[in-house]
Amino acid sequence: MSHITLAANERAFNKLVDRARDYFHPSTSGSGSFGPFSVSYNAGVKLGSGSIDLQSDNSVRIDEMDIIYDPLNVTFGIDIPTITIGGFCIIPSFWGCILRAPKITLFDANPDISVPINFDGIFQSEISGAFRIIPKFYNNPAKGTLTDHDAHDLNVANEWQFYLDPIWLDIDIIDIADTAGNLIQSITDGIIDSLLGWAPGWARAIVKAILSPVIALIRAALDIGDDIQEWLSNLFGVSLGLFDFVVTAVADYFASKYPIFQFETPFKILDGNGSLIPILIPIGDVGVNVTDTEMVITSNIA
Amino acid sequence: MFNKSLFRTFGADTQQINSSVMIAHPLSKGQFKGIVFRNDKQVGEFYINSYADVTATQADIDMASFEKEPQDKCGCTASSHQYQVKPDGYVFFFSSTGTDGFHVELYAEEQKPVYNTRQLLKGDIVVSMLMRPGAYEIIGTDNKCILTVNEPEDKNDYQQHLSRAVTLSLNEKGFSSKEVTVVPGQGLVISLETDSNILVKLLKAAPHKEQDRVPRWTK
Amino acid sequence: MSFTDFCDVFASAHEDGFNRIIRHISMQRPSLFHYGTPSFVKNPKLLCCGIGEVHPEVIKRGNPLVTVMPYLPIPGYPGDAGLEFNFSLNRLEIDFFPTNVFELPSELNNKLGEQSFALRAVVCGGIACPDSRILKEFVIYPEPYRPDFKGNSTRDNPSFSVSINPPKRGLPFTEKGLQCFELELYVVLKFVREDYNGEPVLGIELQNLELVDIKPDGLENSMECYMRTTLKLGILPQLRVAFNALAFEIGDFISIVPTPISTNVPFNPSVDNDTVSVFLTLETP
Repeated sequence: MSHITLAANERAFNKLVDRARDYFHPSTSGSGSFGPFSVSYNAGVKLGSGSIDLQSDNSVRIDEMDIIYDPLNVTFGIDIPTITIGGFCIIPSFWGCILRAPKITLFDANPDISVPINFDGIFQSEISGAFRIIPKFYNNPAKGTLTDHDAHDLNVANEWQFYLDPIWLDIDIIDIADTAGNLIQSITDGIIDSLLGWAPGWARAIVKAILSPVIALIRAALDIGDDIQEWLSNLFGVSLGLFDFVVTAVADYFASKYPIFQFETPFKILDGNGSLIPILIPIGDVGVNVTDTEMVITSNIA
Repeated sequence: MFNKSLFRTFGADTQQINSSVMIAHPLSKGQFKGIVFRNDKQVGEFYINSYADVTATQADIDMASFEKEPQDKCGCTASSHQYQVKPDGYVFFFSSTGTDGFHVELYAEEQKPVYNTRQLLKGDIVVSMLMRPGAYEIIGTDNKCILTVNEPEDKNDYQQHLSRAVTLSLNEKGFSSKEVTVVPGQGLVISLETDSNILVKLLKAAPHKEQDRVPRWTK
Repeated sequence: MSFTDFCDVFASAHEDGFNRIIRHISMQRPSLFHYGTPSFVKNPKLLCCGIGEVHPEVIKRGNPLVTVMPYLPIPGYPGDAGLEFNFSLNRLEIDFFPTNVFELPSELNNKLGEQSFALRAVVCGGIACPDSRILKEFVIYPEPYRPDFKGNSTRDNPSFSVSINPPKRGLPFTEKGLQCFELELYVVLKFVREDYNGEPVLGIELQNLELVDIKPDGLENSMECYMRTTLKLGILPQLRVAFNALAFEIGDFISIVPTPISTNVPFNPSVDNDTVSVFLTLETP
């Protein structure tokens, strides 16, 4: 029989996961392309509530845990071709054009237009997955050649850490806010405003006319029809790889970044008193077993 | 990035080359040195050779490109601006970006002045592209003509308008037409059959049409 | 049946593990197990029971091996010297119900009762007895008694006294003079819920105590009486803990308190199956 047995029921286990979940806040940024758009983004991810169930097959199941994107800023840039005026032929000939007016650049830049859009709270997604609880011995590199007692005093002791090692993970988009449609309109308006915003009132119609092929291109690109969910899924899932990032971040975080529970080894059972050293007990043979009602950690004292 | 100067220039003056006005000058055979001035201050120089072996029918000299270069006050370094054009080909002086106030003086060998864009000659061609809708007066030596810049009714044809210029000529008797109309940005080509500078002066800007507004909220 | 059927968190320690913990404590804090007057503190090799294995950190940090004790006073002796002595708790072991780590003596009915646990230790110690030559050197002779049969003297005669002066130094001794003994001590204890001014407290109750084979019986009984009294009046009352104050933090974020006693959790802590178990419930904020 093991020397030490610790058991936590589902309620207590939830607390452990909640705590780990609360510290999960990775962020990412990057860029990609989406049709005619160049898209750059910065995103922060948090996890919200969800159900955590212990399973009889020695695993832990997390279901429908909310993913909170905070922030989720996406900047759409559209690569507009250089637009010139001039360039027309002044003296034509049979062999071509003898004299042609130089082109005067009306518009050039790359990307020409960028419109930042805040997607915070625009869509709700959830993550689900199954995990095994893996105990890992953390050989603290800061301990080096320090004795166990010195390492304990300096807070750099080795540890037993318990991680949720994912078996599988998946993300579902479950809802798109009604305001998403407005956002798409905002992108269009933002791009056109960027193109025309500087122009004096009399010039706006003219510039708009000159740029009409470009504006048509933008409108076509943003013509997402009724399936906004697919549009957003493509944007965030495929073009930006955001969902892959979330899955990878969750997997990486629970598997190796943040243990749901840990304790130092040797484990302190009695404080030091004055110059008297604390009493540290080496813990080994750590094992974890999960049933459908509780997580049981067993260990031996060396 | 927009070339906003096009929208801030309401007229054209061949004595001050800018984005709205260009000058093409036919060049005879020979070697020439050009000096570029901006607001009467020398900002650069170039060399242009015209000889039979050259096939190029025109040499485009962008005044704005001289502005971007560091000034060589002592003239110690050779100009990187070297051009070639066939005899009787054209040298085109223009400013591609917002800077304005240019003029050019051409010299033949032994510093002999042969041409100055402030004194246009017969055979020169002036090209103007104006953006601001309104009524303009084109003024040559002792002659005038009315230019109307009009927004096209049908914006779908706009690109086609821009691809072809409206032409005009000026001789001792006057302009070939008393009135011409262009759309904003469309080229107006004036062929000079007599020595004359050209000034295009805004008489009256067209009133700004309020765009149809669709209010977000109505009572 | 699950460990947490009637609680949120369950923790238990098996007696084998507990005995290893005792071993680690004896290695890392030997002064809890060895006591002696300054000569023994200075030279622990003189202890009646050797110290055994000591954790290197104890040596490295200069931790004491022996807890210093005052000299044993000599009644009636007017000088500042006392006797040196030492004692140790050796081979301390624990046995949680049911009995199987060590046998209990017949005086303790050979086996533990339910929810009980026993401690066994060998108490070894001894008094450093100075030889006759030393004693002679340290004798302080008071003014001899002078009987005044005639009643002529005006001076007072000193009266006989056995007063105790706290000694400041020890009487010199030789290793040969160290009179060591070993006693086998058994103590049977039990966790109990008590009441302190209406508040529940967790205490340890002494159920029985036995010193093995001291003769005559009266001496054994007297010594047991002294130890029993010391435990009951001196030590165990200090080990009580207010039950409501027993809130633990796991990793500074989970607060747990002992699960209240009920028909499902009749004992908490519970001593059974060679383990001591604690049932804990999440503290609701």
